[in-house]
Amino acid sequence: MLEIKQLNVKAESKIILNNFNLTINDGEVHVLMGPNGTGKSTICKAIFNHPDYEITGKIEYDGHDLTKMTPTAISRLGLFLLNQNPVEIEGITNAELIRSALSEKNNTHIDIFKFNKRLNEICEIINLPKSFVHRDINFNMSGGEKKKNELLSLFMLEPKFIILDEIDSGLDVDALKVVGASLKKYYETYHPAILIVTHHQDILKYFPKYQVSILKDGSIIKTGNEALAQEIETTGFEANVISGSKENE
Amino acid sequence: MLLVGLKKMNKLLLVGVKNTLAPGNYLISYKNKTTIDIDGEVNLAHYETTGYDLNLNLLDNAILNLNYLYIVSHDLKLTINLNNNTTLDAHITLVNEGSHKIEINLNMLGNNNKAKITLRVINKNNHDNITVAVTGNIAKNTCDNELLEDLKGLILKEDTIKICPNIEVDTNEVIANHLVTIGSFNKEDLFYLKTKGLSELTAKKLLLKRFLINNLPEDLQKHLKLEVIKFE
Repeated sequence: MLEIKQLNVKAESKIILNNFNLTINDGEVHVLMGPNGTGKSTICKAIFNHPDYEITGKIEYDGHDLTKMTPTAISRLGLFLLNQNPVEIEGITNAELIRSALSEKNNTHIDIFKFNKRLNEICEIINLPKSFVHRDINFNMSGGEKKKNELLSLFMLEPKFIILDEIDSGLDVDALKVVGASLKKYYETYHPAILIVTHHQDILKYFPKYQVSILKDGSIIKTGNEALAQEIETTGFEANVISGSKENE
Repeated sequence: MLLVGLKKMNKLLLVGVKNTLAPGNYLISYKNKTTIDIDGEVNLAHYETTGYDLNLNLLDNAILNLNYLYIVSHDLKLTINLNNNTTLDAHITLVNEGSHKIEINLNMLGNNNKAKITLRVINKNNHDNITVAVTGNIAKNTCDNELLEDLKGLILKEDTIKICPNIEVDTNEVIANHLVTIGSFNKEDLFYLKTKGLSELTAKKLLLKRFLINNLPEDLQKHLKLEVIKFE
């Protein structure tokens, strides 16, 4: 279970998250929505204790205080972050990254034949050409290719808690179908908890049930279920943000 | 001395003070300060540890693809002269130990030469210190020359890298650019790799390898011995 209580996050002396509270149980899908610039990406990186942030308050996962852990240790607890704009790292291949990560995490030598076989299986699942395994991390890839490329790491590392920061941005209709179906398959196989940051409903239809929270000015102002996401899609944030603020007054 | 290259990389020990390389692929070594004339299209790889100065003269119409790895143990001067209608693509990698100064001089003496220097520099130990002066000299009354210097240093901890990019132009008809970057590991790259479960040490090793290996052909990569580099 992920438990965030009275969280404040500052970057370069600017307050981004202010008294942020959120609990996500094991196996639960939670959707975070909100206008641009309200701190959605910040919470994703704050969970991983990004070094640029000054964090006060509580972020706990299964009893571990994440605010005192390195991103490496947090990842090894089983958390996975898929960033809105994944970095491009020329000169390091996907295979090299994933092999190193698995080898260090499990403290074992990786059987290269089993490893390659598994990579190929996953490429089939996520409809990614096998050549991507040996391509440099996200380098010279389109927005959609980067998202699919990140799924390769996700399936290989088998996380228990997944953070998807606008995974649907920059995806065309076909890519969205592949990404959505891949995530659905992962969810049905491993039942991870998932935090989805999104502006749209398209990716949400791949999940049967989810909670929704709306973020404004660094705090959650409204929480609901699938109906709230539907309402946002229809009426926009402004109407919900205003009524949400009134609810909290 | 005229040396004829073969299809595969030829290992050559240059014994004279002045040598000529005909078209071909060469992996060279030498035991003294050496001058080499490049005559035709030459791929030249060199792994240097002893610090002998090297002069390369590109004769008219020559093409030189140079891959030069120096595990820096002494001060050293590398001079490259370009005559007319030549092309130079130089990849120079310096791994320094101690406190040293390297001079790289590129002289465009004639017309219609195109040169690109890609330089990558690191120090091996915590308090090592290296200064690299890269000077492009474009002579008077020449025309249609192009020069690009892409010079990068990666600071691993408390070491010092100084890169001095100089372009001295004595003519109006020239295109010359330089790019210099000296810095530590990119914070977002490190964060990304760590969120995938890599330790800081492994992440840095991968990023260092990336920084250097992209500038080196396979024949020279085995000499890097990055495992001896301390990050902590």
